[in-house]
Amino acid sequence: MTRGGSRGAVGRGLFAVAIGTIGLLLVLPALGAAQTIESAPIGPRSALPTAVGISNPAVTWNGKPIGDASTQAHAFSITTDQRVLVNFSFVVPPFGPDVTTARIQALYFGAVISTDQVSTSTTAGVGKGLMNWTLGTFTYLLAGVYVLSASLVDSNGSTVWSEHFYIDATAPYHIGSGLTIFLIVLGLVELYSILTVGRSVRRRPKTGGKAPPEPWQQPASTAEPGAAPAATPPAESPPAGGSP
Amino acid sequence: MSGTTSAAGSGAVLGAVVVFLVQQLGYVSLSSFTTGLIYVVIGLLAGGILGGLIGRALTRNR
Repeated sequence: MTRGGSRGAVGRGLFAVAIGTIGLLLVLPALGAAQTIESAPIGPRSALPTAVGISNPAVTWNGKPIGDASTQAHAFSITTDQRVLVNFSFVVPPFGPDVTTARIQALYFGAVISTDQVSTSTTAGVGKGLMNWTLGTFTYLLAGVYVLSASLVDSNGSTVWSEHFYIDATAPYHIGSGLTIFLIVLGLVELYSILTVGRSVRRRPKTGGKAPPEPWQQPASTAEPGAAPAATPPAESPPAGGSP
Repeated sequence: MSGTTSAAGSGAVLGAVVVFLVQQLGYVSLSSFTTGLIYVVIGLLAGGILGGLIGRALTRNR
């Protein structure tokens, strides 16, 4: 394989890797969990809690109400390896739903990528749940702004109450997450590929034109006058002798 | 593959990479499916167009 051909193959390989990576990023939510959350659109409206059958639902994030982080600008800042104390509290009226689970889910492209949940306890109509939340398996992989959904689930598995809020997870030194490092490297490779495209085209021989002489061939214009003509390979002739 | 096409492809990939990188750095949220897809498509298109233009300019000048 020639040098230009190998460069082209390497370029095509890198391009395939890049496309595969982007595809993987888009499929990432499916790897986290197969279930998608049915919820109101993300935004200021979603900050309004939707309570069915319970009253005074309140969730605190390290002591702060999650309603404080209802927009991206007011997202809770954390580091990716940080543990956060999440406190759920609610009041269940008589004959109200049997709330058994408090849950926090992280969303990416509209799908759930991580789920943390704890069992709640209800005493005299007052329910509580305490959670030590982390990013889970994505601790050293992901960073950035994410929407979290806090929800209370009853014994039938249906969501009784949910509320969305934002977190801004910062990796150590801002580039400490694996995905960030990989994206930076991939971006630099693609940038190099763009900036060197003119060089690779110049090296390629023009179609229809005369191919440039190989290094071991002597160009005709540089041959000295009177010099012996270059030896030409003898024409192939049938082997001497007849057939038996 | 011509230089322009090659640069456009690389530019499209670079555009999508930039979108994911900006999200990782905390400037954009890709938690909503619709918003995330719009950002990625915009990145692909803008990167592809810019990459194609740069590739065309580079292959013309040389």
